[in-house]
Amino acid sequence: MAVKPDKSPRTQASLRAISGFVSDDKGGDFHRLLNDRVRLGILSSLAVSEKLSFSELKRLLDVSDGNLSLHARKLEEAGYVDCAKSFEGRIPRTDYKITAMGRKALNRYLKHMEALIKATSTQE
Amino acid sequence: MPVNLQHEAENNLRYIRQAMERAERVSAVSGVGGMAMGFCAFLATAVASMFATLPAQLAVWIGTAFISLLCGAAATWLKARQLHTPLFGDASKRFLTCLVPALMVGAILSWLLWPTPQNILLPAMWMLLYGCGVLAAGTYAAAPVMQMGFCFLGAGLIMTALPAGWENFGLGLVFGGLHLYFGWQVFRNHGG
Repeated sequence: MAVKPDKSPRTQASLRAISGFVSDDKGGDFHRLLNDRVRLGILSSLAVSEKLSFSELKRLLDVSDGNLSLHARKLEEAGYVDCAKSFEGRIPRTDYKITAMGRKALNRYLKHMEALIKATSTQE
Repeated sequence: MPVNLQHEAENNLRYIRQAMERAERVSAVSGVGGMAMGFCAFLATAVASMFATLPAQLAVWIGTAFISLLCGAAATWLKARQLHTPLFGDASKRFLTCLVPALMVGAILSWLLWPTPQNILLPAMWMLLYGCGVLAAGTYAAAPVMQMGFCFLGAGLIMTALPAGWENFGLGLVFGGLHLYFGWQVFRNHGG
C-alpha cells in the first residue's frame, strides 16, 4: 500500500530544514564523508583535542592501521583535518588536528542530525 | 521509515558523544598546568630552605600546594576554553572524583600530624597519597598522568627510607621534577 505524502505546512517546514543542510554546493560531499563511522569518530575525537596521534586515534576508535590511515587520508584530502609527520627519536609519529573547515562540517552534521530527529518526531 | 531515520540519527549523535568523551580523557589535563606546578615546587624548595625548623618548612609547602592546585585548575580551564570543550565534562568529573579523596585525606592527616613530632612522616605521606590520587585519576587522563602516579608512589616509598633532613630537598625534587617532566610530556603530546 502506497503511503500518502504528508503535505502539512509543519512537515514541509521540517523537511526543508533537513534538506537545507545537504543541498548547498558542498553539502553532498560533507554528508557522504561523515556518514562513515570511522571518519565521524576521527572528526569527533579531534573536535575536543588540540591534536591526537595516529596511535591514540587507533586506540580510541579501535580500528586497524590500514582502516584508520585510509579514512584519515580522505578527511585530509577534504581539508577537514591537518596531518603533521615527525620523528620521536627514531620512531615516526603522525599527529592529526581538526581544521576550521572540519569543525564547521561536524557542527553542520550535528545540526542535520538534530533537525532529522526533530522532523521525524513531529511526524509521529 | 521515519522511526528508523530517527533511530539512525540518535545513534549517530550517541556515537559522536562517546567518541568525544573518550578523546576528552586523553586531552583534558593541561601540560602547561603540570609544568607550572613543577616550577611552584622548585620555588617552594628555595623559600622553605630559608627556614630552619621542619614545621615552618612544611607550612611553606602547604601554602605551595594551594597555589599549585590553583595554577593547575587555571591552566585546565584555559585549555578547555581553547578547545571549546566544557571544563567539567564527564572525564574531568571522574578525574576529580578520583583525585580529591586522596587530597582530602592528605589535608586532614597534615592538620593532625603537623604540630606533632610525627610531622617528619608528612613528606612521604604526601607523595604516597598524591601518587594514589593521580594514579586513580590517570584512568581518565592521558597516559603520562598514570605514569606520574606510579612515580610518586615509588618516590614516596624511597622517602620513607631516607634519613631526617632530606624532607625539603626530597619534596622539591619529587613534586618539582615529576610535575615538570610529565607536564612537558602532556604538553608535547597533547598540547596545552
